[in-house]
Amino acid sequence: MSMAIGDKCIGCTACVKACPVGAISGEKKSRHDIDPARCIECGACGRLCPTGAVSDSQGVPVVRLLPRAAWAKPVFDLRHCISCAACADHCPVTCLALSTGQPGGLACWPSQSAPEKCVSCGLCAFYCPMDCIAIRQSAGERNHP
Amino acid sequence: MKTIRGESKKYLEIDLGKRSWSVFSPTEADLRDYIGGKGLGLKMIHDRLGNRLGALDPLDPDNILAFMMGTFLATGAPCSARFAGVTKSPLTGIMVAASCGGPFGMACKTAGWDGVLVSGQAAEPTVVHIDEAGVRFEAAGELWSMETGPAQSRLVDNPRQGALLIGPAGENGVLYSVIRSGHRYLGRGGMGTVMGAKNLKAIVATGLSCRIEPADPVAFARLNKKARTMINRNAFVRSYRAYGTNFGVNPGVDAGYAPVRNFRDRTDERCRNLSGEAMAERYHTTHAVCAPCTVLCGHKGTYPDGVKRHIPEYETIGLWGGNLMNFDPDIIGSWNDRMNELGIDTISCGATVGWAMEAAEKGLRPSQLAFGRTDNIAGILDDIAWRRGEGADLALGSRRLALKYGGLDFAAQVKGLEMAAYDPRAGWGQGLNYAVANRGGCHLNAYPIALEALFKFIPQYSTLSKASWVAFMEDLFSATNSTQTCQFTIFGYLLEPPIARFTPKPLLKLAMTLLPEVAQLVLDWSALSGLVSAITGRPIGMRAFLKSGRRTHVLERCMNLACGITAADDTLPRRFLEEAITKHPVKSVVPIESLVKAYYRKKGYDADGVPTPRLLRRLGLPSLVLPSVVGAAR
Repeated sequence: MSMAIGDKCIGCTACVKACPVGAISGEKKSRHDIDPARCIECGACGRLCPTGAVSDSQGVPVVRLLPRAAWAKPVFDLRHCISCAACADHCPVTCLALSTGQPGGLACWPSQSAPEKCVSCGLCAFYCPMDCIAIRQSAGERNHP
Repeated sequence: MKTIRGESKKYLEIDLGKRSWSVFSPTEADLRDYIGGKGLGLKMIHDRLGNRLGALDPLDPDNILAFMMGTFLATGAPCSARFAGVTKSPLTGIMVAASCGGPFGMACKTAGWDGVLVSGQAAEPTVVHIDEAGVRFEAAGELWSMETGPAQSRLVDNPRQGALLIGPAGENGVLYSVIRSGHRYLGRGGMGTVMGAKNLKAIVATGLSCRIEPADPVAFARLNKKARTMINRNAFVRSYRAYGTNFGVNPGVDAGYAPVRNFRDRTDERCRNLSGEAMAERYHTTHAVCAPCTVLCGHKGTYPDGVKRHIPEYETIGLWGGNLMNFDPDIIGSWNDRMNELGIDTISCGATVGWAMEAAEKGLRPSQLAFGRTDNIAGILDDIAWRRGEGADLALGSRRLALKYGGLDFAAQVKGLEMAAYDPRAGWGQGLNYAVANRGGCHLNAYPIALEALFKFIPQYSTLSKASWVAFMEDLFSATNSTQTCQFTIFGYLLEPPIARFTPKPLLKLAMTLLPEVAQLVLDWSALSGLVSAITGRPIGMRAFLKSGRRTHVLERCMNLACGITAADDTLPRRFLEEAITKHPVKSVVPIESLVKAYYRKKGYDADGVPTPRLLRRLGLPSLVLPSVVGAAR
């Protein structure tokens, strides 16, 4: 299962640049293709596509709703964090960093060091063994027009 | 994304010789009786090989290599990254099952496959690709003879993939070679050699195309929370989380289970240099785990040469440290890396090199190896993997070498599988565990040393209750290995429910020593069996869960009997039965005969170590290949 690019594609290469796993190929001004074996279904391509040419694995078009800064991001609930570092290890765009040295507390804990790189793929939440990570928009951004 | 409720119940059967594949589903009865993982893998091999199993050469194309994903994997349950490998071992000639936490499991199960059975032999070195659509075969080309690290980087290039692959050791027939996935390994018994004999360099799975959801999400969420709390609270887990498995080094020096000078000394103060505490400080360790993991025993750190390495596990530290009279943790780190790249089992190789050092000392076999000498080890590791010079000999393992040159008394192996880094004289239960473990000198069969020397619940130097605890723990661990969760979580499940937690420790000790059956009756592992029920939707109580473990264990025993194991194999090397005087102040040898006799009684075996017809009927196993097994064993 993967995202798919339809006939509306104008070959602008916005999705190629955004894809965190290099799954999209295609020449400029020609229709692009997604390699289904590589696609992690993060949807970044669809949210960036100016023509709405991208549909998800169910065939539903992905709509460009929000500017990139307002995409859903991982929110950490560190009360249950056990410092396993699985989230940072599995982040495809390395937007998570591990801070260390909290006195008397965790050995290390995750935070978003480069939120502008985050593609809302959810792999960090998938691999978190303690369900400490939720992918959601922050309260302020949720009301973004 | 497709959603799978609990299990897909779809297994791939790949024939490398014909380059064909098919899909099959196990019966509901098998799923209920064997749960999944190791148990179901053994049953599938048993059903397919039947009477041919005994005479089958493990390196024959007909041998089956089963990779079983188990029930927990990818569900979000605690430590749900693990999968099992099952086959007939070329090192021991009997069945071997191993557990691994690498990314292959997650990729394979979320591609919609609960397991993969590989048989046949490819005409040329091959890489098998698996995704939700099925199987593709590709020529391995220049990947063949490549070390595991670079080969894995070439094969896996995105987060959806996970690979299983072998290194030069597996390709060249080193009898104790491993299969790698990520930075984790199917380590024991030479599974990599079976894969190499099949001309199979790697299996690459592309997953994350299905979501695995428990059949009963409400019960699952409740039990998952409970299980995590218990695991997090457990002192054993906390020690492992802080220092990794090397937490066991210091207690080993005190309790006398440290392997020193090829298991001659039992203790040496210098081993403390290699402890988890010392290495955490020296290398500023952080976690490196099989995700998702709740225990966090894996660590990595920065070595003085600036290289970031995985910290070797306790077994590697024990067998390449004190066992060879080497007390430098830096050099063990680099050897560990080298063995991982070449695809060598660090436990079997360490014990074999230890034997070779003592054999050279005693003049049985000329060798460049000597206790305390470390400069030639790195070269020897390459020689073993490529089977050059002395390495060609060492690649056979300690039992074959001892049979060739003499020195079986001090070869630290049982049934051909080298012992892990626990001297059995320090815990007679551990001695019994090594002697009767189905796959040979395996520490994880029942792990009684934890009860004896780490928690000190039962006395180290006594036969009291040992048979009972070994029989109980191996059933529980067999069932755990069928769910494929981490064995280290078991102490959380067992010791953290209120009845064990709030019983005063002296009372608990007394009950566990004098009335082990009563203690086993009041222990509670319902959270673990409840999770299995919630995931699969097939209700299984904690007693039925234990019985399923016993069924798996007895099935494996029967298969081993068919492969030629007899009661005479259920023993320890003579060193542990006769040499009482060591550097440790307590003189001890393992009274193995009385322990094994009591164990057979507890287990329901007859005096020849053969499961009685009554036991087989109770476990629902009378239809096995048993008539020939029992006939052969008598």
